[in-house]
Amino acid sequence: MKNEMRLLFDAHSSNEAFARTAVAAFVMQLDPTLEEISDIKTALSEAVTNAIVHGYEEAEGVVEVHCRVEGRSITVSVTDTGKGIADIQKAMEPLYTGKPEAERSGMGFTVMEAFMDSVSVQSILNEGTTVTMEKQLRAHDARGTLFSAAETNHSEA
Amino acid sequence: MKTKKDDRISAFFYAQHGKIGEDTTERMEFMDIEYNGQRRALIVRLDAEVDHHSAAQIRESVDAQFLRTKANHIIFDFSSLQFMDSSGIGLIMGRYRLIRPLDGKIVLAGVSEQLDRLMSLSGIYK
Repeated sequence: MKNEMRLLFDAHSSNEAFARTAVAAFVMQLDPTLEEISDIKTALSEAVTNAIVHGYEEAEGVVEVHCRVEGRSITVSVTDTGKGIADIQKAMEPLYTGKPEAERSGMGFTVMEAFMDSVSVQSILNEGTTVTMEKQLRAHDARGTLFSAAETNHSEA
Repeated sequence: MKTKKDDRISAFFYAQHGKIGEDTTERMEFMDIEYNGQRRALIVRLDAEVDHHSAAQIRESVDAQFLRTKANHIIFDFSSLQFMDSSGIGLIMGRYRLIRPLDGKIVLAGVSEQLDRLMSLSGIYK
């Protein structure tokens, strides 16, 4: 089954928590594990924060979060129409931060890549940025317990 | 005008020469900051979602207590933490820079498995 939702909100830092909670609530229909929910919330928080801090440089703007589930796969994209990224490769390097004075860790993209299965960035200077992330949630068996093909546990049989 | 740098220098001076401050506890909606004078440690218990938004407030409160108490060490207790993204890493690294000239330590307590993944990723344990 396919299902989609879109959120549009002002680029205020107070909306970071709202975006996380809304996406987590939408993903609940797939009955994810706590770890999966936490991964998605963390990655989303990084992307939304980037849009607010770097895309709009904490000035006015609108952030769009698009969330799509199909089967057990989830795709989340975060779009801003802010200043764009000049060098995407550099922006994605661990510990690189465009704002060293702001006590940012420079770990945003690294966290997104670690907690999601894939991350792609499209950006045009002075037009905006879209970050798209995908994650495949683990399958459920008939009893509702979690398993994945790679780690089937025979010891309890 | 007093700059941030002046504050850090005076914090350094007091930590070396000042008297042991009184034990205090400051309770806020999203965290408690306790000062243990004997150990010269600030204990920061976060009952919050730490993101870019809340990190600014947390930083302000911790730094104010750090300067007031002349603490040498900061202990972050994460056992009641509800959420943290890389803004929290920035927060910890920033406080580490603050106490490094005092030979102080940052201690991270109550780290969940999920939080441990975030911390490991950032290389903050090194």
